[in-house]
Amino acid sequence: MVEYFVYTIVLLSCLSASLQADDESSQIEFFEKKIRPVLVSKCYECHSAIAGDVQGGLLLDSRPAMLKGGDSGPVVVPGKPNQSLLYLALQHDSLEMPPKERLPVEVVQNFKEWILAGAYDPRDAPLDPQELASQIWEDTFRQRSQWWSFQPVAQVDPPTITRNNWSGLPMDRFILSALRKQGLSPSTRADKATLVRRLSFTLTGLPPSVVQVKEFVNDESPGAWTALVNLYLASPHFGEHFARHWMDVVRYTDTYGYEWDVPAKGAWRYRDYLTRAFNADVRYDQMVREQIAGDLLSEPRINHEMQLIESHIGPMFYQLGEHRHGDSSEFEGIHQEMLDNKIDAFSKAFQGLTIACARCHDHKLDPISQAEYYALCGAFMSSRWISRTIDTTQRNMHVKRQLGDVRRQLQMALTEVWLADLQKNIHISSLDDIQPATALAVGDINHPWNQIFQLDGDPLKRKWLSMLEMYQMQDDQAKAYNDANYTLVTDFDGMPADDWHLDGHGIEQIIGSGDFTLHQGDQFIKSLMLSGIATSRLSARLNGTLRSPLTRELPHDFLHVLVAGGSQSAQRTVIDNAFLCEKQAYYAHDRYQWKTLNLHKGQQDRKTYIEFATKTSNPNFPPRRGLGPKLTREMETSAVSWFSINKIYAAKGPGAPKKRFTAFIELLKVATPNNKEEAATLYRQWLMGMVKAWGAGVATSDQIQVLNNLLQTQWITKSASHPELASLIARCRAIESQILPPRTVNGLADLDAGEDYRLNIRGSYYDLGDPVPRGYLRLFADELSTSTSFNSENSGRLELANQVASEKNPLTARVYVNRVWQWLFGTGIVDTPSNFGKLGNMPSHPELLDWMTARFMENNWSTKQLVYDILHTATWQQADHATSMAMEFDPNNRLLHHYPNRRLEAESIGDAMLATAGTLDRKLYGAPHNPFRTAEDEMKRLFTGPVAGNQRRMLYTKVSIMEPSKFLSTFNLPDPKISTGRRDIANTPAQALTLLNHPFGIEIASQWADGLIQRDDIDPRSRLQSMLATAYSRKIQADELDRWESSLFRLSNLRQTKQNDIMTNKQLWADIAHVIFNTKEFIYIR
Amino acid sequence: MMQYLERRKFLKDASIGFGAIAFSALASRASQATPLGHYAAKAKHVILCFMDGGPSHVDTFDHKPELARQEGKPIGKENVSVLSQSTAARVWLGARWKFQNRGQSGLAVSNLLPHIASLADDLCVVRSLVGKQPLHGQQALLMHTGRETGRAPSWGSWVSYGLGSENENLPSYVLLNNDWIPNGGTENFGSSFLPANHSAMMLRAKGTPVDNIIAADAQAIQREKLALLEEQDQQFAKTVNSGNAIEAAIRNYEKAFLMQSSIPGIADVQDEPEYIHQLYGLDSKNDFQKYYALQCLRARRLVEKGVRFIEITCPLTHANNSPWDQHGHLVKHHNENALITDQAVAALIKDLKQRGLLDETIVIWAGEMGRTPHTPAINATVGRDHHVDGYSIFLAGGGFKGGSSFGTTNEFGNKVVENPLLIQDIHATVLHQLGLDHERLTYRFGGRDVSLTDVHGRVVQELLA
Repeated sequence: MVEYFVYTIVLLSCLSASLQADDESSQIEFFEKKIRPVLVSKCYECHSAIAGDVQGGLLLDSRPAMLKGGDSGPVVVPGKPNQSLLYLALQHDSLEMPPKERLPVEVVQNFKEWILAGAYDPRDAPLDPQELASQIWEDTFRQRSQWWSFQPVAQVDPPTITRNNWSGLPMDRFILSALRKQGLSPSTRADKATLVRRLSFTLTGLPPSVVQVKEFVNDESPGAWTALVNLYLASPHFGEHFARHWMDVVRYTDTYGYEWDVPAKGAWRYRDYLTRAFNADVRYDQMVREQIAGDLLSEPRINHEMQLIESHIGPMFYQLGEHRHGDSSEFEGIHQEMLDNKIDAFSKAFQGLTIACARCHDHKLDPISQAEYYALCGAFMSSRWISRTIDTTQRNMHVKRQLGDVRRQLQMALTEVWLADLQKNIHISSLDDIQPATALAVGDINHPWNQIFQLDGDPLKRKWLSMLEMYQMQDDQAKAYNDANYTLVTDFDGMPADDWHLDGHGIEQIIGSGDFTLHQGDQFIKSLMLSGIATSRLSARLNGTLRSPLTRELPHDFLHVLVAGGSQSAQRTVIDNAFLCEKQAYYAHDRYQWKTLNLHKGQQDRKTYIEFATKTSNPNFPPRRGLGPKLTREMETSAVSWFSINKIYAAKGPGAPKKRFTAFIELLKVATPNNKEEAATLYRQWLMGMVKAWGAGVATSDQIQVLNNLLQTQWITKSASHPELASLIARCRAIESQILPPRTVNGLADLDAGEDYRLNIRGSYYDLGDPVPRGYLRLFADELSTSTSFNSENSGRLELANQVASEKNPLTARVYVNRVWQWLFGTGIVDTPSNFGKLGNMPSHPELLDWMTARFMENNWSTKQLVYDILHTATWQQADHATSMAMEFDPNNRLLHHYPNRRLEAESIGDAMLATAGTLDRKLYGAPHNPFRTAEDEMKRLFTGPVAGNQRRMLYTKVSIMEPSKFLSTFNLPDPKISTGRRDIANTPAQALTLLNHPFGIEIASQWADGLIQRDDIDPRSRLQSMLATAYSRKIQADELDRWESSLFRLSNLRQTKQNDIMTNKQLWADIAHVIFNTKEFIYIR
Repeated sequence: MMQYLERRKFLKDASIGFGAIAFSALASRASQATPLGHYAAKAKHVILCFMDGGPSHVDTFDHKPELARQEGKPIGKENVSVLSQSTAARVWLGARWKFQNRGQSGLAVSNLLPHIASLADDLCVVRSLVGKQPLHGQQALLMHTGRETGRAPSWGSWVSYGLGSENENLPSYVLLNNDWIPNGGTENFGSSFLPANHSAMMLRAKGTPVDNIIAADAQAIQREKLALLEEQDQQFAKTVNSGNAIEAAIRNYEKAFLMQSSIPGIADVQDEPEYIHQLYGLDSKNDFQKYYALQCLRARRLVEKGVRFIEITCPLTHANNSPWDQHGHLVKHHNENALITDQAVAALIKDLKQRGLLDETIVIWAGEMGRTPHTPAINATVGRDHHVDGYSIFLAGGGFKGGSSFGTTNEFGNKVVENPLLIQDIHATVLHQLGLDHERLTYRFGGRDVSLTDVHGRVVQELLA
């Protein structure tokens, strides 16, 4: 294949091929250039080894086959075109080939010439279908790669325009030149009031203030416009508005939809990340890198003020979209569909390509092969789909240090208190008192005393010694059994083995034995931790995750974990990166227990890992309703959650390791008591010894287990109100309350060796082909290179990110510049912004697009610079008037002979109402609030929110795939399941009904009226004037005021309002406000 | 499009006696609607009674005596299929309801649905539908949009787009919902890339029937507001270029104004005689049944008003994943679902027939899947799981062959052995009866001419009378 390719490249370099029968090289040249491509592209579909159903028994894919011919005999008779059926059919003589398409005369003539010259054909033998297919693909690939958008960004010079008194700016010259070619000219400059309103909505999605309009209208200085543009570019609302644009492109959602609409963890943090990035004018190529591989960047972008690792938030991009069904590892098909959606969003958002069209077969029109789709699948699925902590280590550092100090003091105080308790409590009588009638189990803290408490003297001694023997024997047996049957996987005495991964700031260091979770309530301590890892060493409000290596790399079928945990921490079994993993067991035991995990090792082809996570670090928490523990809304949102793990063993069977008794042997071995008194003393010393060891931080695991047993008794205190402890505990709690809760976002992590994805033949996941090396599109590879696979041993996402965010990638910057143009004009230079492929539309101004793209890259991929430049053009500042001639020649205004007016986006309609009423809360960021709903659905967590959305911008309304805000959907909030390049602006009666009757508009109108009736306007007319000017940002005409005034009086009659009460009647002014909200001018920018 | 002055006059007239004038306006416009069919239509309306969750085919329309004989025996490897939740160790489970041959045709229908069974001679039963995946969301989207992935217009939207509206003051596609959105979500009823006016209007069983349909203001106040709005908007429209969109937005206020009275009028069934209430089961003490009956009755009223495509969904009565999704408690909950839906669906067919509307209305009864003829173990709470290799639906009216059945599953009802059909075949056939060619009913999207049936679908002449 490679050979063939190089060969044809050489041939293509010859500008023309002529045929000389005696010259073999010219024969080859002619065939390869003029004959083969036609056979391949026009005939092979029905007449070659790749044809499913060979037509007429005729194959045209080798010389022998052609000479042999089909059902109607030979089709090529060398030297005799008029006897060659092939030639006759091309002529559409009797037979018509290709059917329904007559090839150009010169092509047919080439065939004639070729046959005349002897029909030279180097194709000695038929190729097998696979090779043939790749040959055909080579040909197709070359042809399709010629498409305009795949060519490097051209260095173009702006046209020179004569008699130009409109604008000398380069961008304007491109526009003007194209207009002139059609005999058209641009519109006049819009009036200044219109420009402010347009600017404000376009950059921030909000209306301008009356003051801003007035100031600009009166500012005659030459720099007035620049100052205004800079003002709006610097507004924090710019980031919000542009973030929302990008959110359309990446299919933003706060929930995962399907049957249960489970929450998409951290989505809103990603939304805020976008806002910050646009406001800080982060280079677009950096934003691309972060969203594709932010977790892999060697120098992640840190937000020091917020103690946040910004780059780590980017990969939430992948984790958007619908996540279907319970656990996708259980159903073939769903998983592949979800992955398809992710590839679709990736390719549309960053590249303006429809790579997902190549899932079942090579792309129908673009140079994207099916294999390339699966090369990308491998890159996406090699990473683990996890939840990541985005806090820097600095966050909470100070508080944690303080807390650590006080906790050490507490531990010292507690040691003293407990020693005193034991001194006081452990005596013959107290020990005797608590002995139950029935025998206690071996290993119970009271078991030795239980064995001897009715004895004294020699019988006691004998019993003591026999107990020692028994314990020693049992311990030896347990040790032997455990050694024989269990392989220690990791015991966390040091940092865990490399293939075990930690994340989270509760878990960043290994704990010594004896730390404890500080609980709320009077019983502040429940158990002591064994050495190992624990998320709650300092506070149960910190988070953590422990992830296993892939289970197929573990030695046995079962894992045995000694673990304690609570408050919805969970152990998760993630199979094949199930996007929604429901194999989650929730922990609710304060004491250590052995947990056995079946690793499903029978399913060797599956990629499985185990994860232990606090709820804050669990990508699928909260789970769907009905699965897992019953949760209150408080439990779903509180940060408290913890687990602690001591050891993990692997074993062949499901039984837990046997218990060891070294601590008991210590007691029994230290001395042999001669009487009960001595025994009691030994007992007391034994326990006190352990408490001392604990206080000194040197208690062994077995000692901790006994101390935990001791904590179940009444012998030592657990009360937070103990006089020696109360103040320390109060201090601990006070400090702990200052801990900022962990911030986590779903994303990707490269923890394993990369794994190539197997091609799904014809898209069928039951029919698997060979694994396809992970890589990206050959379209973007260097010329002549056919190998595009990644070098990385992991997923290759970083290489992917670099290939996308490259100046050499012809699409990335071009597609983005076009999007920005669309955000400012309503329509892009390419009006199919997410499809720059063959099915997309051609650019209206290709050279302008390239000129801007080149400048954009030169200007450090700065969005704000690009916006600034466009806003300074005369093109953008045109009025929205067009001549009738312009409308006739170019009704869609593709040439931009005027500024296209358009309806506001859904969010801006709501925002404009709030802003106009003066009741908008301009606070940025934060968790979303529920949209207003008329009915709630507990099962899907579809709860209702405040009618006026907490007065906040619509951006902060929760986007639920299952049921997005009806108000916003009615005004074409895009479907959150798929990437949307350009919003619909449908016009439906439901919109009229919404603005007329939905409580939102009514409520905001009433809020506006609340403010109005407090004001001391002179008369209704002046108040109307002020309201309309606020709403429309322009001067209000007298006849308009007449209209509103007389309507106001009619309404006051209908509402039976006395003349004197008009100014203070809230309902009347709410009526007027409501009508204003319904006017088209209010929801249009022009 | 009405001229400005006319519209102004219209609103003025409306303010002195809106009711009568509005309805005459309604009537006169209705006659102007032009259907866009490809050829002569046999039917004009579709009512889809969506039995979501998947009613058991072997307990309703696909009688399998062998299943009872083999009950309790493992199904064996040979009967395991990726198109159902199955393993070799599962055991056959016989029908839980008796079957009888009904009417002149002798069509076998079980006792689970006695009212529907009594109409056997009107039913065209298809027993051989084959789906893509045994999952609710995917199957529901497949049924509604022709693709298990969705992201395409729903069946009703295509009909609305293809035929237009017979009544300018009502949407041509209405969803009669019972407080439960089937799996797959509202996308099942959306217009996707078709113009938004072709998506379903949701009419709820309880409370306010349609969002924002109740005027927020008293009529006189609203009229005054609309008149002011109209004048201000016209002034604006005159000063801007893209007049068409703004004109259309202005016009939507008229339609909205009319919908405020026409929709509650249709939703309110007080004027229906007592015997009709009883026929549908509106007198039921079971709230679920009562509201389902109400929606069926409204469906008939919508047909009379010219609505093209009506879908009625089932209520969710218990904490399952969807109404007919009985993985357990098959008998209890299938009986409950039958109680809720059987009488009303039968009443709807009867009522349409007695009004001479059944000939022009296709009533479809269908789930998105069937249920396995086998189960993990037989016990008191036995259930059936998901199954898409041969499940049953029926069509009635609209030129479909009554008292007939088509397609055959094997002796266990476990897979199709004869005449397998895809839901797209049903789409094609129903569109055909509406005068629409499924291959020509296309919309240009993403550079392609997209259709409901994509590359699938054939008109199944055998189903037609």
